Amino acid sequence: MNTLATTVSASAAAIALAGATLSLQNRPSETRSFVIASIYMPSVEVDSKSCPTESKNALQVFLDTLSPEERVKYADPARGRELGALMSRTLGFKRSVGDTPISSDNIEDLRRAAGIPPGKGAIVSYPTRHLAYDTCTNPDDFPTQASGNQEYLGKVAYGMNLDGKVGKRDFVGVDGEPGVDNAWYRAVGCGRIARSTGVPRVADNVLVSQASPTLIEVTGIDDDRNDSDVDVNVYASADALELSATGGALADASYHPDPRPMLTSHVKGRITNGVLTTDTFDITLHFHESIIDARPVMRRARIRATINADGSIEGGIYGYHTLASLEDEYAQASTIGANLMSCPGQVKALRANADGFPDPRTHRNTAISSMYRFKGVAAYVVHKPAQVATQ
Amino acid sequence: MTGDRVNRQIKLKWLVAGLSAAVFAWASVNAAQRGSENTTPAADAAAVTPQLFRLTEAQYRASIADIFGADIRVAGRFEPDLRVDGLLAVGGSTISVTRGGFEQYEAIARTIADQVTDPAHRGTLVGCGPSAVDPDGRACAKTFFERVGLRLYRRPLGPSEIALAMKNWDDARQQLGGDFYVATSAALSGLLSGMEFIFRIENTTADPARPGARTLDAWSRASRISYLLWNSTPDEELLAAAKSGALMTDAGLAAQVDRLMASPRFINGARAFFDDYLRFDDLNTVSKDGTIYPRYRAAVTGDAREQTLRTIVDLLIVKRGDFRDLLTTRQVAMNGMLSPLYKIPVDQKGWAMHEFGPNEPRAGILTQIAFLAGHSHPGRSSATLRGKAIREILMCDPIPAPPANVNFTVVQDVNNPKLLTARARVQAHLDDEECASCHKRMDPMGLALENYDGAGQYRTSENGVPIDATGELDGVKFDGAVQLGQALRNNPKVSACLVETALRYSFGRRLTAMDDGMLARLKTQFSTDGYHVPDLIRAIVLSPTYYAVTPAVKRPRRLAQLAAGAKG
Repeated sequence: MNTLATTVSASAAAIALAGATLSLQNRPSETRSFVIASIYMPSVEVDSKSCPTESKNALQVFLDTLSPEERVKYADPARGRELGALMSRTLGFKRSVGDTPISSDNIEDLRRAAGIPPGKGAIVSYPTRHLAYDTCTNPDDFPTQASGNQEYLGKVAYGMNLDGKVGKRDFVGVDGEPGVDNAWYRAVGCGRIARSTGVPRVADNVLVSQASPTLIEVTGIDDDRNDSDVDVNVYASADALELSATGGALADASYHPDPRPMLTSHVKGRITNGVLTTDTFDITLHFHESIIDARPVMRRARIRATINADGSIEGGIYGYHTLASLEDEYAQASTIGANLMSCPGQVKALRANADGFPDPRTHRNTAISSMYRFKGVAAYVVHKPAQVATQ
Repeated sequence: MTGDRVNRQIKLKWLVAGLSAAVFAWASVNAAQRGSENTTPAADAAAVTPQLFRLTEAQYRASIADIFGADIRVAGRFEPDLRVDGLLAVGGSTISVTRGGFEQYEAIARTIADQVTDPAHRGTLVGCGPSAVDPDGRACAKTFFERVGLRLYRRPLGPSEIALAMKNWDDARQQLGGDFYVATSAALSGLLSGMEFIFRIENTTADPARPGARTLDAWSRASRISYLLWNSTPDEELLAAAKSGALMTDAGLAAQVDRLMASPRFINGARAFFDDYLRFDDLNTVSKDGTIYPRYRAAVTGDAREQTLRTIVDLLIVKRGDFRDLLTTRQVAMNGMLSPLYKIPVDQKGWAMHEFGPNEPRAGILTQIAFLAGHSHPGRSSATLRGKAIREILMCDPIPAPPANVNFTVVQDVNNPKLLTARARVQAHLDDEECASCHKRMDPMGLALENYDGAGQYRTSENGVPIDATGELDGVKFDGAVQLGQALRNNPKVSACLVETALRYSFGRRLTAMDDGMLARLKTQFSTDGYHVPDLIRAIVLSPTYYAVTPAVKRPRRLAQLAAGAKG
């Protein structure tokens, strides 16, 4: 009896083990599953040509708007807290207080109580769920802050040729692939985040979305090196990331998928020389940390990733990131974003570089070519309950 | 805290310490005297056995929970238990209490007594207080000490013990400002620090079935079977059976034994036995190198211990299975902490039963993490430690300690380019004839477990070389852990060892030649009845021999030592 045999997708490690010593019952093909420990917009190592300056953060942009005397007074980074308070007062930032859960019934009351203009503000700081109004939640309301963003001017970027064309603004991939579409990176690639923690040698080791890591499940594998027809499911996990003894992602842990349909995606794929590539599909990811609960949406996305012999996986999700979900993610960063970026400047750049899914009415592009790089370890995706302990 | 309150706290501390030490010393001498009084012909006095057993930490905690409730916190450090002849239960009858240890017991007692008498608990646990008819609460205090004393000492307090408790209460009340509950707490602390609580003290009486012989008295019988079957103090029904004399009759004894064994609390007793049998207290010192075994997280060791105990309870108690199947069962308790080491999925973070398939390399408790990781080094497996554990624990075949000058270099060097597997390294070690004599008894079985690394994870090779897990035990050849488990399951030494260990555990002492007859009967009965552990335990506790007083022991001298230690 193996109570989970038909309902659980096994890890690569387990399958490798099975190949040597086990016979899996009633399973004509194999399943490999992974928990994604690290997922981020990857950055190449930039230089003075590709990024002549670093994009300014909110405080730096605000400092530029002050009088010369005030600029001198607040130029000292040690006075950043004072400068932030001045920015908040000057620009009229607002934030709801208290622990009242926000719902459609009371949101206007909360706006009124906090002095937030009707219809404005956004829910931030999960799980306390404050209602905030600032340059990240409402960038359009603060046009004076929409400057200081430096676009990436380099020729090389991570990504994929999404449209099959090689255009003048396309990049060359880090592996030499021509026609790489990654306008997201062009827009924000010179920001502090991309330049510092976005390079894979750093970011590959940073755990992301620990509260709800992404799960990738590949089923119907007949040959783990070459299989022209596999099914790929992508889930948000209902369980937090399990950590190993050394603080990394724990291999071979079990996870349940989040039951919400919007956080589940299915797509056909194939494995060629150990590289998994999917057809295109729309996917909603789930980035859930202590105060972030973002749902990035990628249209016409595809996965291309290498399945390693040790059961791990690394690769990317390539597609068109919707501006709406990106801006929502920025909004949630309002409590931490001031020192890292200037939301109005970045949003302006995103909209200017958007290159996909034009709105039929306005003809403005609503999505931007993008890539998330990811690394993960072997895991089990558990779909149904097991036998309950008798004790 | 005000100055008065500080002074009062200091005074209370010293007063309680003084009371406790006095009670401790007094109880020691008192028990010694009563032990002597119980021996019939004066010439036999020194030869009569009644034993002293220091409660294990688990027994102490369970006793407090049973007497006062699970919400009474037992805070403090206990003196370590001592393993003798393979069992802590045997060590409990030889171990003493150091002066430092007594101070720890006294501190623990004080925290318990404070909680029992605090406003949240006094209504339920003390049950009375000063009133119009009992203005200072003295009558209430006496009633309380009689009631709680019965539970703590597992027998009624004698007149002198009641008098001492009341004297302590009077002294505390006088010195601490007349507060009823403060005085009650101080005197209760003295009872809790008493040797008659910390130690289970057995007393004897004339054996009604054997004129001229002696047997354990009813109170001692109640304690013995309660701590064996529940690993805790007798409940009120069992004490009532002792008081009525029912425990001195075969029928009355059987009725209580069957009641205790039918209770869910029998699982606690079974767990305590197997925890001791498998020497799981040694797991408290197990640690693993996280860089070598990243799946071995901090909580794994505790959960691994729990896994094997749950597996045992499920097979032997819940399902009343064959003891020998512990070595081959594919049913195992599993949770999310352990599943990554087994590389299997689990639906839940908590516990559930899992069954390994017939072709999977896990069968029996020898293939579980507790045994494999517990008998390994922090960064590598150990065929020798595993083989030694099988010999000593499962086969009651002690292995002598290695010579002091033995050179382990060859075995420990897992990076030796010429000795890539444990078998190769052990073989090189065996070139030393002095070592070989013992290793040939341990290593063949330990090498059969080499398919599991030092964290208990399955592997097929070491340093790229396929693992050879073949061996032989008493003429039975095996290849790997599953076949080794089968060989051990069918080896009569293993079931015989279990019976012997269970008897030592039940008696709490080494076996002597006088036990041979009982041991032989139990072994035969165990095999003919289908190797059911509950039946074995029942046979032991219903045997008149179990309560018969045997020659030996110098209890008065040991008691005197304890008393002297308490006085410091």
